[in-house]
Amino acid sequence: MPRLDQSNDMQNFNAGRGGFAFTGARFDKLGSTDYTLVTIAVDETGSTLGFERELAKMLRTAVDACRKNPRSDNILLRVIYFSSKYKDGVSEIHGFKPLADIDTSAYPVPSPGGLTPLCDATYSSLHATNVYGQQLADQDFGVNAIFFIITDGAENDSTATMQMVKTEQERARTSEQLESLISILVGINAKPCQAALDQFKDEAGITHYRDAGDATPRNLAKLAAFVSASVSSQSQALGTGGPSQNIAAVI
Amino acid sequence: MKLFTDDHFLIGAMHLTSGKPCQDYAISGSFGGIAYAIVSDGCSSAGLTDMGARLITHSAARAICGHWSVSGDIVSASAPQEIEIDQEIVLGGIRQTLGLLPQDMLATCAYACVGAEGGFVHVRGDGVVAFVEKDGGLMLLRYDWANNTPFYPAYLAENLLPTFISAHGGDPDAPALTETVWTKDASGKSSETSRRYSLKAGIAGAMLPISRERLEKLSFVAIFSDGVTQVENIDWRDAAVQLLSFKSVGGLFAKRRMIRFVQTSHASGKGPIDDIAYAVIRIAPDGKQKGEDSGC
Repeated sequence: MPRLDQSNDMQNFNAGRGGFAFTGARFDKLGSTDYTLVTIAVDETGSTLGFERELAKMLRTAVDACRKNPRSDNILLRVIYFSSKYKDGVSEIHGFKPLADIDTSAYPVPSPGGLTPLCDATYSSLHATNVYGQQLADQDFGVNAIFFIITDGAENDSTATMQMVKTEQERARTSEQLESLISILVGINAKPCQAALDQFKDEAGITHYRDAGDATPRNLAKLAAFVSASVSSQSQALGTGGPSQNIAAVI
Repeated sequence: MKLFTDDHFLIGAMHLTSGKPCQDYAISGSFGGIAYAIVSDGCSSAGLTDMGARLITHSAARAICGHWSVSGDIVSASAPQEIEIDQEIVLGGIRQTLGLLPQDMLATCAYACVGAEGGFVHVRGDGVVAFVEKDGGLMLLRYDWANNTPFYPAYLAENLLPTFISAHGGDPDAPALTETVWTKDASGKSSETSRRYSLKAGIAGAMLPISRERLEKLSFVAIFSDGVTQVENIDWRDAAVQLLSFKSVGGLFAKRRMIRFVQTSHASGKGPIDDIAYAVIRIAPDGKQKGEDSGC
């Protein structure tokens, strides 16, 4: 899948085990004092066949809704699709970039196929957030982060190990460069594997699990609203020293 | 050359705990090819000097831009005096319109303005001026008044000068203002000198011309309020150096630096005891002037 970030405003970051590269806006293009790093990881495995267009629509709606946030200028958003058909299980649609620079109409409709590399998606989200967040903090920017892993299945084929995920979680907690980090595992059409997802959430140190229900247009619209509201809450919490408190318990 | 500006101010621990407002203020901007950086520090024991500090900085900006519009000159010796007169006219009108009292206007006014041909710094009151050179050299000039009784431009504008002179002993020729100059060259070697200004000279203010040749060697000109000299357990030189150690220079570069500085300063103490403010002009090599004027 082609990356959408080919401009000079983006920078490549190749650090990390397993070749989990990512991109982010160049620091000299960032003028604010603080940023919330947002990652949305969307399942593109074979089991999403049949509601892939709705998933793409949900993603576009969520990102477009984030633009209405009063702190939209302080959000850098990254989107990845994950499936075992990609090297390292992840395809970056675009790296951390200002909302104003994102063209959601260019988001490709997922092309379902492959198995579920949940560890890869989580590791990529965590690792990129840690690396980019650290570098932002080194440049005096205040940083917090939130990421969403939206999946309909349990882990079954990753390059990254659970230990790698745990190490990144530990790094996020101990480095103190991120003011706070919220991670949300969202199950969609995931009733049959909810127990496995719950276990994955606990083992990977993900802070929340949310069941979005069946993949109906109504539920996906609610999921888009949940994502944008959570991003808004976390962004408004930046500078307070803690995470946002008002993330809805139910989608 | 390109000129970029930024500024920030924060309340100090003393005012925070005593429920007083931040009485420091800073603004900066660019206008028609020049850039300015202005800082004001209101007198804690006077009236609504948080308002005074704000009005003084904005009136100074207005006067600088107005003067530049009319004369196209910020390098001649008469420029500071002409700007001062413009500012007094603007300020007097605003004060009376808002129904503020003369003691509400007791605040310092220190500013820098530079353009392609050079510029100057004018310190009316106290504070610290910094010149950062492209080769890594640094010059800090600190201004302190005797008995911690600084001159405020409102003393002149509001006919309060006799009271101020009496507070300093009544002799206009007696030393009242100390200028401490600390320099560090590119190799890291530092030196410090100081000299005294008479009360009369202090009232006129410290004038620091910046020639075009000097400007070409500079990367930053910064104006600090005296809050930079009162950060708990941090020497004023170190505090200034840290506040000038910009990690990135895009957008709100001074604001980011001050926020981080204050955060880290709490590791060694209470941070800034007094309110703290600074305004910075960044001088970058060739190119266009900052995209938008700031609306003077």
